[in-house]
Amino acid sequence: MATLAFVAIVVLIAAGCAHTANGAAHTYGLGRPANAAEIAARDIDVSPDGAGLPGGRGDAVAGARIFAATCRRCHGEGVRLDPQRWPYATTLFDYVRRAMPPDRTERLRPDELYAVTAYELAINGVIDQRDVLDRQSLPRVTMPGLKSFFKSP
Amino acid sequence: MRNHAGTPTLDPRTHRVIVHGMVSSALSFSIADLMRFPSVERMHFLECSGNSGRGWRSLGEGVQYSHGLLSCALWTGVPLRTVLDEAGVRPGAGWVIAEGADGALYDRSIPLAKALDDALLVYGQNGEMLRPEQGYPVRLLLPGFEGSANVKWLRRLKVVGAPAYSREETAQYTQPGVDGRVELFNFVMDAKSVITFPSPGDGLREPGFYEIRGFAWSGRGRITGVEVSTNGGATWAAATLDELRGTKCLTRFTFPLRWDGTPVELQSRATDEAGAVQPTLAALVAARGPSLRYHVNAIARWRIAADGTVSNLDA
Ligand code: HEC
Repeated sequence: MATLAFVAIVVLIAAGCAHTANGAAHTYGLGRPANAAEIAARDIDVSPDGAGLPGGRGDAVAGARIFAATCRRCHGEGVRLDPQRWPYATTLFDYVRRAMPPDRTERLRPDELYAVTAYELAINGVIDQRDVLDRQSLPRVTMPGLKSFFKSP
Repeated sequence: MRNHAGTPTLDPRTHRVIVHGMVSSALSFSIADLMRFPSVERMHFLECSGNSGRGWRSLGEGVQYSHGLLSCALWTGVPLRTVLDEAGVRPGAGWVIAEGADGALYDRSIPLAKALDDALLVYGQNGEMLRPEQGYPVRLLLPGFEGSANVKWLRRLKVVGAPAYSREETAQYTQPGVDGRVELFNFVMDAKSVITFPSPGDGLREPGFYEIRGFAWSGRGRITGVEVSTNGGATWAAATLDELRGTKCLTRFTFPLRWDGTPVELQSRATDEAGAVQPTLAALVAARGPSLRYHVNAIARWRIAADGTVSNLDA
């Protein structure tokens, strides 16, 4: 009986390994469930469709002030981007949130992030100085170079 | 060993890697957990997508400059597939967003097919723990993929339906092709080889016998042959390949040269098991346009002058 049970477990493990992408989980029982708080603390990526964007809003006028306070020490009056190289405006928000400032001396709040994103897009000629960015409007900003990007199937 | 925001100091006792998104159960792993999974050890090369990129002013300063953004190491870790299976990938998933714990929270989208094929989560390199600059305590290793996709200091894997389109896979590490269009998610480093001796900065002292030495590699599998030309590509002859011919691994080759003291133009050309043959620079420019910053696998052309000094004809 004991031997049979052992064989059954081995077969189960083998079956688990063979069926990837099918939801067969916990083959080795290693790791622990990730709790909602630890996922939320790290789950920061923003998709082109706006998924992952926080609440809040900001415009280029507010952005200019924040940029002067937080970004000017490295970037001067503004980051001159080549908008043709950025297919999605959401990527700019995502990048500033995850990576700027790189010495992590400060973290911007959502309103401030929308504002510096608006400032960057305005000084680089993508949106108007008065445009307000938020969770709805940011994904609707069309970058001028979008059509030049493609991905093979 | 490049980075976008310096080398973070991570405590292996507290660092965790979380796997979430389109999985049956989101999981959190300590480094000790990851090291308990069935492990593998594999030799693979790692090449920066900008290696040999046109436009570097230092291309003519020697092979270390023109081809040195390349390494080959013995990696120890757990297949990414094993870890994803533990969480149970749900139907409809197509990509995995890998994110580092560095100052830039550097992230890249990896095709699920690659993640389930030969991708590894590695914690060891050349028989020791990863060094901090190499991604300690754990990094992604994607054999044959451009170096920058191999996310270091890994803290998160998110299984998703569509890529993240992060800055580092859109505005960076991409380039316009012949028609001005930019291909995203072009990962594989194609068949390439280089003669490391003689090479610019390491010439010949006097006429006589020398052994030409070099390396060949391909992100599409094993190297099946290397040919050498000593007359500017007019004729080619097979080089000798060393025993160690791993998949997606540097393969060493040698070729005898009796130098009579007259100028010689040396080239090497690799072929991989997918049948791809290393192209000339002219063919690469014709196929991809003049903007060759990344994925430059062209045949290198060394010229040995009568005094034995070697120069890069394409620098
Ligand atoms: C401590 C210096 C420093 C500070 C402060 C700083 N940055 Fe940066 N920034 C950098 C560096 C360095 C890079 C290039 C990083 C790289 O390429 O990996 C960069 C890159 C960028 C880029 C991308 C540029 C491009 O062409 O791709 C943007 C956008 C940006 N920063 C915005 C900001 C904003 C907004 C702030 C203020 C919230 C800020 N930065 C604060 C140093 C800084």
